[in-house]
Amino acid sequence: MSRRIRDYRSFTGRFVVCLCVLAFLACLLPVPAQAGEESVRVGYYENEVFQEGAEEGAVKTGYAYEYYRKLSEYTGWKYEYVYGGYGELYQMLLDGEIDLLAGLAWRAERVGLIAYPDAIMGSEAYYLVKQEDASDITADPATLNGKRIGVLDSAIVSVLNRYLEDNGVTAEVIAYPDHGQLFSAFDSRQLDVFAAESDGSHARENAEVLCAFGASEYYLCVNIRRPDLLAELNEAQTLLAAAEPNYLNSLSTKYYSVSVNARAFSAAEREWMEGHDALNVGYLENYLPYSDTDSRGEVTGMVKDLIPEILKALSIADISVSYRGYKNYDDMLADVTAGSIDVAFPVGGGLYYSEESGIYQSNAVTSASTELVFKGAYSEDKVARFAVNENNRMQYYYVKTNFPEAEIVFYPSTEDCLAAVLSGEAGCTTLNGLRANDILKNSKYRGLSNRQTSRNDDRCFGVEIGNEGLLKLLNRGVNVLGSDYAQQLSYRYVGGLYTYSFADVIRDHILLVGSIIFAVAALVIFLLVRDIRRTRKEARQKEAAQLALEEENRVKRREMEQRIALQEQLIRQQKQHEQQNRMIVALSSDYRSVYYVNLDEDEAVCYLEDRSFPDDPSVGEHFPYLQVFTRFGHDHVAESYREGYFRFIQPDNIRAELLKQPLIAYRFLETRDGKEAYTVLRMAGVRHMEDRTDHRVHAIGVGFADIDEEMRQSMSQQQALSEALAAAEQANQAKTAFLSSMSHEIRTPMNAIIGLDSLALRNGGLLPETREYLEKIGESARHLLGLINDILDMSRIESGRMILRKEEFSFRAMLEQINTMVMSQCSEKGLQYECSVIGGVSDHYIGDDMKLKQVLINILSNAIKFTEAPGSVKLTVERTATFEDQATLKFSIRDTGIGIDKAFLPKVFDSFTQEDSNRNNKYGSTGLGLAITKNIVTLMNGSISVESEKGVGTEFTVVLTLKNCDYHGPAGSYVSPKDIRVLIVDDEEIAAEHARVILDEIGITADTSCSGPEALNMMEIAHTKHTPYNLVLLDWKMPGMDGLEVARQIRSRFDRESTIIFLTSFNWDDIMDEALHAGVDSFLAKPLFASNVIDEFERIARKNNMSLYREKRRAELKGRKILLAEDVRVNAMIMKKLIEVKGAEIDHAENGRIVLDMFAKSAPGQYDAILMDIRMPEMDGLEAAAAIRALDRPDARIIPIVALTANAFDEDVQRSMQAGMNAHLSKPVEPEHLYQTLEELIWEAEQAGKETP
Amino acid sequence: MLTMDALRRFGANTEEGLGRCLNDEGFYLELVNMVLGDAGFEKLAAALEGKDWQAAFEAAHSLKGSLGNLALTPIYAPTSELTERLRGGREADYAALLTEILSRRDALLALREG
Repeated sequence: MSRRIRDYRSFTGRFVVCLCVLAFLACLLPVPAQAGEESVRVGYYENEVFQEGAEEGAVKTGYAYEYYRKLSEYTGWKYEYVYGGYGELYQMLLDGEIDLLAGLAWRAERVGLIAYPDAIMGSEAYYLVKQEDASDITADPATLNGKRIGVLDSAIVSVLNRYLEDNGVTAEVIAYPDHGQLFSAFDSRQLDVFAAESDGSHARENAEVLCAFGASEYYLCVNIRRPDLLAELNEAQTLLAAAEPNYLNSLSTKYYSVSVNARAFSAAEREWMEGHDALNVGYLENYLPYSDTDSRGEVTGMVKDLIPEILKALSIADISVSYRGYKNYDDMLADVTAGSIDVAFPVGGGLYYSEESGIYQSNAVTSASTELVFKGAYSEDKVARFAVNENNRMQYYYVKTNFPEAEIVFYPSTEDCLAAVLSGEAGCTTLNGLRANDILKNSKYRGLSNRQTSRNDDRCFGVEIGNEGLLKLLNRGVNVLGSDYAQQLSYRYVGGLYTYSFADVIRDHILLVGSIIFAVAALVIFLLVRDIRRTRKEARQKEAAQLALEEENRVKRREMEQRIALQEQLIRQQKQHEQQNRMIVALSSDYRSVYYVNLDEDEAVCYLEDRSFPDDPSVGEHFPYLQVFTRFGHDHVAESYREGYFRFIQPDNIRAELLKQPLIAYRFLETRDGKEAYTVLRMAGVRHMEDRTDHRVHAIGVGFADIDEEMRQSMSQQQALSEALAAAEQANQAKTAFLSSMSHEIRTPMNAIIGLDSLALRNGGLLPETREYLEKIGESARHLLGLINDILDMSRIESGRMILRKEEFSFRAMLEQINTMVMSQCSEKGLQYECSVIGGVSDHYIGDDMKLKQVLINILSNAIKFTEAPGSVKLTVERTATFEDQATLKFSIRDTGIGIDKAFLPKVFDSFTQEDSNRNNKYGSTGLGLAITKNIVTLMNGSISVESEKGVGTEFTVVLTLKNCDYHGPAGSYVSPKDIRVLIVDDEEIAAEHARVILDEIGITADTSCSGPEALNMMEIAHTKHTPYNLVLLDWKMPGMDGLEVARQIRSRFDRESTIIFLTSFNWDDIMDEALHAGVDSFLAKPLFASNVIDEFERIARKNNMSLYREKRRAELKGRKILLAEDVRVNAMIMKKLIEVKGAEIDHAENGRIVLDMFAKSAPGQYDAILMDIRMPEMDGLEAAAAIRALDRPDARIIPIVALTANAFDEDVQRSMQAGMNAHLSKPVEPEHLYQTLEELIWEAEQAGKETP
Repeated sequence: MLTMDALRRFGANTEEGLGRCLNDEGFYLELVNMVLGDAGFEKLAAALEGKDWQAAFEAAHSLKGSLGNLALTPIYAPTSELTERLRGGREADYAALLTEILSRRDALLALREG
């Protein structure tokens, strides 16, 4: 048994492998189980090119056949071919006797009879072909009218009919059952035109292609009873399309490049052929395999075969061809355009340059890569300088196009170019891909390397622009021959590029050649022996001896060469050693140990050893470099440095680093015997004489040096430095913090000074002297405040806390404010001020107007400060650009002041800098203004610049980009001071009083309150009086209830009825978030300035997009019924009149008792509101209101009751509220106020009534 | 016959008073006539005479309301002052103010008759 197994082992083994492979393939392919057993029956009809070999045993070829084979790669199908005519097979497909039939067009009527796969198997274009001499028929479809058109009775008929119909042509269409009948009808001129498939027609002498008129797609159809096959086919086609997307195209090109299109000439081609009986061909010499002139002066190369082959393929017989060779490409093209030759070959270098030269380029005869040729290893610098053959302009064009940066040096020939590269005169040159290999085979070019470029360069025929006929003929010819043809042809001619001299042979294959020679000699001797037998024995011996002698000489020569080589090597080594010694001597003083390392061989020698470490290699010891150095790393390099050390010692790294710098070093912490010390490892390249040309490091010197002391010293210095830096940073932070808190601390007493000063100045009975002092105090205080504000701004900028707003603002209003301020300052100083706005500046933008104003005022104030009368200051605003929703504005501020020195200009925006510190006293400033300005502008992504001339003036330019806004709010500044009611809440009476006075000066009525609870009380009253405070200026730090809590209470009790601005002399940055959360709208610094209040108030109103004043929903008064309690007749009459004007009715009661009675008796909902005088006889308003509220009826609790009284004292208001009244109006009543109150209250009551059923 | 001009000459803030009457001159003048014939003046004088401070205050307060509404300032001002003084309910000599109130009322009456 075992023997038999052994005997058959090899067979079974193979068999098993086969099975495995099959099984494996079966897994890969989407083949159903039965596919392997059952074959697929294909209908196979004979059709030229498409499907050939339609009989048992015949060789099968063709488009369809190849397609079947390709499909089987995906389906695993085995085919059984069923032969027959097309019609016969189609019937079989319908009957289910065959499974597949190729070449069927899609027809609606066939669907349901046969199955179409999703994808086509091919497509064909249809052409119209006319009688060659029928000049009345042109490509214009209209000329087909009334003509007879023949067509094969097939799918083409419907395509043709559609084409004729679409073009409105009426022609006689005659369908023929087969091609034979169709063509004979055409040849016998029964037809004017025939329609042909691209693949189905034959060359016809008398035919000329008119045009293409359509295309149709055809399918490989499936027996409708085999959905399994259809599914497999669909899947296979999908996979095929994915794997080989271009498959159908390439198949089509392979089989149908020779088409009717290829054989029937167009009018232009015919015209050319009629006009020419000779074709003059120019070719480029010395350009094999393309073209050259051989030793007999005859043309050679591909051109010699191409032209006749093309003529043959196109069946053009009666034309004579002559050739003319050109040494120079330009000369050749010049002759084409001059007409002395018809066609040039080869032409290339890109279409652009051909057009420049007046040349049409034909389809590519070949498309070969271009090879870069250079010496040694390739590097980028090789392509900096190209050697170009001046006689081959194609090369020049190619280099120019693909290496536009390169320098080009011309040489008279390819050989000279290559020689230039060899000698290093040029970095590289190019060779055509078909030429390169064989040229470079020549032994003299052995030092050259080549490299394929990614860009192909086509080689084509060139004809004069305009010579369309010849161009088309050549294109047609090139297509017919196919791209393979030229490639094949080229092999015939590349031989001439390579001259393999005898010397080359010897050099290349000295042993082989020797033995061949020996063999040949032996053969000769054998023949001689056989032929002449005995007579030449001596001669033979002599011959053999001679050969032996030659052989001996050769061996000796070789030995001699080897000896010389050895000597040279010794000399070299000697030099090398000397050099190394010099290096080592140089190094040794600094190094603990020194090694010489040959990187190529991974071999190291120790030249200097460290005696304190006996384990290290000793002097003269050879050792494997990487292994020992790696071990060292593991043993003695501290872990944190180890990875870097390993990277550093890699030969590739060393080579790369040493190319960049002559000496490289790696510092690390060395650990030995429990001690740690810093060590440096240095490496330098050792240059050998013969290595000078190649840029590669072969050997290095390596030294270890102890740098522990230096290292520790430098580390401690570094430590000290970083500590100093940290200390400095801390100090800087402390400075910022100090400045910030100091400024705030200073501001508190400043408030008092400014406040008291302004109060004191209001006293009319001051002595003039006292007044002057007080004014001076005020001025100084304000100046001091300015300084503090500047410092605060700067500290905000430095700590990154300066935040820009992005809010709508009125640009016009901002300018107006600036102008008002600047104008008054200017007029005080006797300066002229002018502000002009140039084109396109909008009224509103989105940005931070406060900061922008600060920037402009800063610069303008400076301008005023440094300008003396009679001078001028001018502000110009110009919109310089718009982009999308942004506008760029340029602000120029020009003065005629003292100017700034050129030397100082660059420092103008630095902090605490002033051109002349003495001037400080005269002009008074911190030196922060421009620094802040610059910082703000930068924060706004803007730019600021300055130009100045001493004594002439200064111009600052600020360029900023602001966002446009579609402003819909009321136009202009819409806060009228007299309409704002302000409540100031501050525990410091002076501050509160100062704020009140400040506001009073600009006509704003303000109330003051010195605690939170009091303020809330006052707000409650104002709320009830329906005259709420529009604005509450709230101090933050107050004893008891602080500002935050007050803000919270305000928001919870009065919703958003009032705007709250936090007023503080402290830095609010830290509480900003909390304050905003509590309901604070904004912040202002103390002491207060009226314009700031208005600005801020307006800004908030705009931001909240709300009306400045409380606006509530209102009900209509018309048709309402109001109950009035009023004892004074005149007042009652006025009230009646007021109410009736609005279309409402009024019922009058003379005292509280009557009104209570009237209301109690009224039907529910009869009255909409009650107007209640307070002071009345019998029962006053308070009592009556309370009684009404106490009534047990649903409307008693919700009917609005409005108190009317001449006393608007707070106690009165509180009392009326306690009595249950909703509002309190003081007499005399303003009609509008009355209407508003009633309308709002009635609306609210109705809402409440809806809620309570 | 009272006219707006006469009232203006008298010192009334006719603009304000007329405004309160919705600029209806007839209505305004009617109300002014009504006030001039108001028994309140006599009630006030009687209460002061009888030292009924509470009644005097109520009368003065009522008058003040009417006069204020119509902006008859020359009469309103002393009436208002008297009202405030009486608000405390204290005994005092109010004769001078009463005389001023009545004389101004009489002056206006004279304008009307004249």
